[in-house]
Amino acid sequence: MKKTLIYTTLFIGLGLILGLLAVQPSFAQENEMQVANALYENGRFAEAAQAYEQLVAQGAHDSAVYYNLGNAYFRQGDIGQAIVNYQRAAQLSPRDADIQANLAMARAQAVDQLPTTSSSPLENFASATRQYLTLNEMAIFALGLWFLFGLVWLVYRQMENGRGKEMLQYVLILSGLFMVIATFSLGSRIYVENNRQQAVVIAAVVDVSAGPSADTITEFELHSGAEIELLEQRGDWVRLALPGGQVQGWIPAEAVAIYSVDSF
Amino acid sequence: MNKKLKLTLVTALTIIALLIVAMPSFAQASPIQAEVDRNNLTTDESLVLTITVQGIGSNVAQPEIPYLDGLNIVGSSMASQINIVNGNTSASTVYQYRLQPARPGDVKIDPITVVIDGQTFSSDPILIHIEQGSGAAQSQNLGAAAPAADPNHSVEVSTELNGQDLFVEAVVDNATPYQGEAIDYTFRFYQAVNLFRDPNYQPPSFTSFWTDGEPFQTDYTVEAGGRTYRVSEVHHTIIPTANGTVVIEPTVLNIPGSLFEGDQVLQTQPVEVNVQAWPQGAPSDFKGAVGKYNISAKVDATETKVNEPVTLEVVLSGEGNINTAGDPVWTEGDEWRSFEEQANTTSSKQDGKIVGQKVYERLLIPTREGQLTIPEISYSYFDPETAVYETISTGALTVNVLPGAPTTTALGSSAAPIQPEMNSDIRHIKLAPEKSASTTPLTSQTWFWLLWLVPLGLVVGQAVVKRRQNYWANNGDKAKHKKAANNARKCLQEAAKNGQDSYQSAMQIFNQYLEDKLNQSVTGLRRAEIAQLLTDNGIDAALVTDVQQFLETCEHGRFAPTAPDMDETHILAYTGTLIDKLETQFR
Repeated sequence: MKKTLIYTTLFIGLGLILGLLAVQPSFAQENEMQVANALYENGRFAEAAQAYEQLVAQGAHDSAVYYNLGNAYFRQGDIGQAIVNYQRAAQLSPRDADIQANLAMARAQAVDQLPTTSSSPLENFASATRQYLTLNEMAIFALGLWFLFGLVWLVYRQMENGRGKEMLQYVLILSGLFMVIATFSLGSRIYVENNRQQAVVIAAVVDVSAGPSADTITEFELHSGAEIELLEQRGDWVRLALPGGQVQGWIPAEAVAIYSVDSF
Repeated sequence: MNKKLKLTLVTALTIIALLIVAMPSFAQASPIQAEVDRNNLTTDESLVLTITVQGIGSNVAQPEIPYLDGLNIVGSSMASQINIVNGNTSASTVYQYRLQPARPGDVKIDPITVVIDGQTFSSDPILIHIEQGSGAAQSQNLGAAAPAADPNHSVEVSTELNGQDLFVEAVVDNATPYQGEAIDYTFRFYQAVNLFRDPNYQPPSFTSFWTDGEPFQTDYTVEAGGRTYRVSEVHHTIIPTANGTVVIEPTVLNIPGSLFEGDQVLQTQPVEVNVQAWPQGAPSDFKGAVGKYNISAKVDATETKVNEPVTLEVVLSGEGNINTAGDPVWTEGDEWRSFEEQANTTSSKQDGKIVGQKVYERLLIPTREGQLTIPEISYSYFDPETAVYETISTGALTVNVLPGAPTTTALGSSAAPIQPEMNSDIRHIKLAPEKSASTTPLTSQTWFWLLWLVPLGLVVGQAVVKRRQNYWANNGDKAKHKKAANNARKCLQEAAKNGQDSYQSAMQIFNQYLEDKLNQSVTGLRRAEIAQLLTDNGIDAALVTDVQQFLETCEHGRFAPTAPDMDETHILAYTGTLIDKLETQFR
């Protein structure tokens, strides 16, 4: 019983450390944000966008800043930049209803109405988890379940045979199942985020060419706000794929913006 | 863990593992398909081989055509198309080859391969039955074996052909076309002698013309001036892009020389073409389409709901400059929001003329309920045969629009994006920063992954400890032997602390140590017998003597009235020293 107490204390302690590390305090530049908000309220959207961009450049990777920045671009009619920043905000606060609503509104304004689902079940699964949890939340959840499974296992091994141990069997199976599911979810999310670079077209119109050169034939056009996947980069050109992966082509790198928060 | 629990755990984990493995490997259809328009034909006919490859762009290589024994390729075309059906985007590239039989018999087209994203895919083989036709078959192998004689060939032999060994000429089928009207530029190479090497063909640049597709070649033989000529024809379909008199530069044929004579250069005469301008009175929506066209339209659903899109498909087809013809004019209305898609154009050459179609897909979203009309789409073209402008139209389409479903705002289905409310605005800005989580992914930190080892280490450690405990519990003698010295030292410390009779305590502790080590009782044994036991267990003679003296000292201290050799205060410490020495020598 003494050992069990030690293990429990150890696990709770580790969980607290993880929680504290994951939820770091946000930036303390509320004054600058108030100035940017005032510009927005007065209809000076271009200046407001510039002020929010400065906050981001200062390290304020905050969902509210990205959300407000998306609004400032939306008001200027720049759908591509609006979607980029709403996506960044959604990555940081996936359960924020305001962000989801404005992202849907911006998507509806885009010229190219491309499907948002992929042909890969793994990608669709990762995309579904992205709507509810951040990657860090998933990581903590999976690690927590792994610790819980270890704790239950230790207690189970220490217990004498009896009704208590019998009941603990079911707890062990359940915690093991949840742990496997959470670990698989985390793995698929890491795989997709490391191998799929999501981006948005920010140029008003861009010709998609057959090769990384302006001399190659134009296959089709994309407009601001089209959400695409980047496959590779060669010099100043990037190879993209539309949702589904079958339609691919090359465009200048400056015509797109990657919206992964840790990629810029 | 009992067997039932083990079985349950293994079954559950196996199911999860199978699900994980099976998820990405859903079966996919082959991305290449090959088909012919006919499997039975005569040597007078030709067939069209159509190869459809899923995907377009740089990730898709051109299909590799195997060696076609008994069939010659006399023409080819390529078209790509992008389809968005029910929200799924797909793209394909269609290659068409016109094949001319070279001999009667059964011919097999081997699987055609294509490389997509580094992976090779194959089509199914195709069997074709060819029967002997009434006329002689045309041959396509320029510069290879001599083609069969063709006495019935309708081509008129050039009047300038007067028995030369080699001769070239160029002609157009229409020297006074209208602007935008496709004409055929034909180069002919007459050859009465064999060449050592293949000639080098340099076509003109066709300035002021738009060339449509790749040139195609035919071969045949003619009799002229008592000599048999093998004739190779190269056909270019060209479309004048401006009116006025245009001169097509000569085509040059460079014939490499042999060891005894130098290169020979043959060139055709320039060809003059007088391009006629379009007549006055063109309709306002005329955008340069010349030829004969049809237009049709359909929607994929005649009933929908507000904000639920329907796809309008408009097909412009016919004969003429389909690739450069302008697009129809779309009539926008308040009842529909529309999103245009890239047109898909396919074209091929039939009897020297360009035929094809443009398919436009347009996403239309109704903004209100009721019987909504999609206005007719008109299209104007110029018919060069009648020299008249024609206007065609699709006719209006009606779609019954029902009231829309309530707007989704909950984060429900993962696949369905949130639909924005119509005529609504974006939500307002936030006043203060959120307490967002760190943007640095924990998964990129080494310590995060090291933490995963902690539970594993604890579980393994516990298993090791438990196993050792079980081992010592089942092997008491070995446990006593191993722990004898430690137990003795603990007892010595206790005795020193309690101030007990040191000689007696030392004696008891030492005897207990010996019993644990030797696994037998030493109580009642004489010193000589103890010495013998120690010697049998590998203790050297000097130390055995020390032990004997120690035992004597203890007995003396306990029972003799005179003071022993060693002070009572040192006997316990000496006992410990003696045990340490024994510990190093016990086997």
